[in-house]
Formats: sequence, structure tokens, C-alpha cells
Amino acid sequence: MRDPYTIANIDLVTTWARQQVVERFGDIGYELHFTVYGRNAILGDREPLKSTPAHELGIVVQAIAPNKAMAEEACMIATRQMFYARLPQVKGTAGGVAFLLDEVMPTSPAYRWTLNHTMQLDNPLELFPTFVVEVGV
Amino acid sequence: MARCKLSEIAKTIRSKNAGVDKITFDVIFADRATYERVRRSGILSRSAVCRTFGIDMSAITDHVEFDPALAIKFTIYRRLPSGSPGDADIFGNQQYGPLLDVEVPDG
Repeated sequence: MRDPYTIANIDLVTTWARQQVVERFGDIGYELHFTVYGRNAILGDREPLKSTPAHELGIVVQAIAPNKAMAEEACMIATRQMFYARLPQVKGTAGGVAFLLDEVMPTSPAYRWTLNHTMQLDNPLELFPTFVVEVGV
Repeated sequence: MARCKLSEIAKTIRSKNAGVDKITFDVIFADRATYERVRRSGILSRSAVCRTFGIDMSAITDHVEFDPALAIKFTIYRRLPSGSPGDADIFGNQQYGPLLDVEVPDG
């Protein structure tokens, strides 16, 4: 996005877009993520410059749901509704974001990390057996 | 030496995943005088690192000043496990940005 007022109020825009997904699917049963490049996408709350004004922001919307159709629809609603969001001081009336792509891109199936397992050993080398073999010449 | 930014005097400033739920940082210097200057200044102490990243002391799992390598190394918990939905740096390799601008006092 490039509109300075929209950029200054980006949280209002993403909150409103998220609310449109809530009205379609409710509060639970899916995940929706707005990653705001140009503000704090990479460090999140740890970004010391997150209040430094940007003249341009890039936003990636990700949706995760129990099935592909629902994930795609949630992602589409969230993305499109940012386009339709109306802020009172925005001069443009033909869309609040510049789309790179007006469709949803599916990702590959993925697993979520759930268990970081460790093993208690008597000897730290017991899982790494070594053998000396004479092979001759 | 006049005050400057850490990026002007460090040889290497980097971050990288340390397992799935931590990120480790290395700040390495080319000579002992610079290493000692930064070490003594306290700008990379546990509490200073917490201020730089806006995190609690409990988020730091390790912190070491390693004289033989002229290096200061510390490890912090990730906000999210690597690759989680919403994680925008799955290898943790772009988390060092705030360290570049840390002010090094006269010394």
C-alpha cells in the first residue's frame, strides 16, 4: 500500500479485514496472519523502529484452516476486504491496496512443530556407535 | 576512540536459529582492543541486549564473552517456533538488525 493515511492506520485496516472473516467463519477454527513488511514483519514486537514511518508497506495475508476451501476463502476475504476498507481521510476511492496478485496461492501441506524431544543417556556417545574395521589393501 | 555505531567497528554481527525455538547472535571483532572496548562498555551485556530488543531477562538463555575468539555471543527464545504460521524469518538470520545501530561510547 502507498496511501499515507492508510499506512498510518494499518492496524485499523487489518482489524477490519479480520472482522469480515469473523463474520463469515466465526472466531475460531482457523488462523489468520497479517505480516506487515516495512514496519515489523521480521522482528515483530522486538523491532525498535516499528514506529518509524514508512512510505510504502507490503502485507502478506496467510490463512490456515482444516480444509483447503475454507483456508482459501478466509484468505481471499481478508485480502479483498483490505482493498475495500474505507478510512475517512483516504482520498482514493478505487481500492485501498495495490495487489500484486488478485488470487490466493496455496502452499504445500506442512506439519506443525509440537515436540522437541530429548533423550537421557548414561553415555553421551551411546547413540553414535563407532567401529574400527580393517579392510586390507 | 570517538563514539560510533557497533556496525562500524565489529567484523561480524549475525543471527541464526539455534534449534527450533531459539536464535543465537554473534558479534565478533577483528582485534582485541575493539573487543575489550565493547565488552567493557556493557552495551552487549544481558541487560543491554534486553533493552535493545525489548525483551525480558528470562528470554535470554545464554550469554558469553568468549575472549579467545574476540566474540560476544548470546541466545534468546524465539517469538514463535521456526516455521510457525506468522513467523517471517524461518532461519532467524535477519534478527540482528537492531544490533547494528547500538551506540558504542567513547573509549
